[in-house]
Amino acid sequence: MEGKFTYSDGKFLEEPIHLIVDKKIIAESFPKESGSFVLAGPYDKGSYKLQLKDFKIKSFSTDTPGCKISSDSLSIEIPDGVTYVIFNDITLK
Amino acid sequence: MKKLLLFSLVLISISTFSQRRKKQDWIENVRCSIDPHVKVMTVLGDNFLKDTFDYFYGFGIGGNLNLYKNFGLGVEYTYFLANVKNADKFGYLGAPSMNNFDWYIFHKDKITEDFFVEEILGYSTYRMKSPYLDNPGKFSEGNGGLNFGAKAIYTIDNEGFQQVVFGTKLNFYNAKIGNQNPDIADYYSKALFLNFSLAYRYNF
Repeated sequence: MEGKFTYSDGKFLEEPIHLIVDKKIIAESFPKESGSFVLAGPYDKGSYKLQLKDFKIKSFSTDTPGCKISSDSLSIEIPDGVTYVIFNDITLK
Repeated sequence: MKKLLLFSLVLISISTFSQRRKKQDWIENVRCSIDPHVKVMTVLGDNFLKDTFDYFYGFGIGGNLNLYKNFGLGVEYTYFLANVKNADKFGYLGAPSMNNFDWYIFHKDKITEDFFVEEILGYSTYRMKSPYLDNPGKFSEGNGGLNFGAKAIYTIDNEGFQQVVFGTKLNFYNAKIGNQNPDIADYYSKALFLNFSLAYRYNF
């Protein structure tokens, strides 16, 4: 997974972002100052999500169909079988 | 009649003699050796193994069977450990261990009375395991690939039983990690190892 965040609060860079499958972390990274990030981890099957700790997501853009913001706005849910996804612009609230 | 009997006796004795002679030749060529070794391995090319890990350090044991003339078969088992230097592309996993078997055929050249060179061509299998940091169990991956290399062998005793072996080898690593992006699938599935080994060999 690759992508870029648009953020306003610098504290966002201090928190790890995760890929989570079935409540287990498979990848951890920190976004760069530019907001860009790369996440990679061992993935077999099932839907998974890009999880933030405290910052909520307002919107995102991607060419991959089926992705959506979770009800608590803390993550983007990605459908089963997607192994490569780019989020060009994830804007935080 | 007597002549015929004599002739057949001669024939039989010649044939048995030649058979025994042949058998002896066969056995004369068969030699065994075992060699415990240490190895250090680095990764070449553009792949996640190179970007993620430091050197792989390993130890293990090998066995060689010289079968015919200067040709033989061998196998080496090595247990490797490596440190993670950059976890970003590896996932939420701990430092790996690797079980590696190199199966090969070799050809030995005698350079001087106590110095030999062996050329090696074979196939390697790998199993790399890393603990999940977030949950119990291990993530394992691996497959195989060709290997080739050479060994320099010095005899260190008068009888020729004990030798020191310095080896270098290239091992191709092909795993089956899939991704919708073929470049990423390749990045995670293909690598090339360069390894150096030092071994003590005992012949019997």
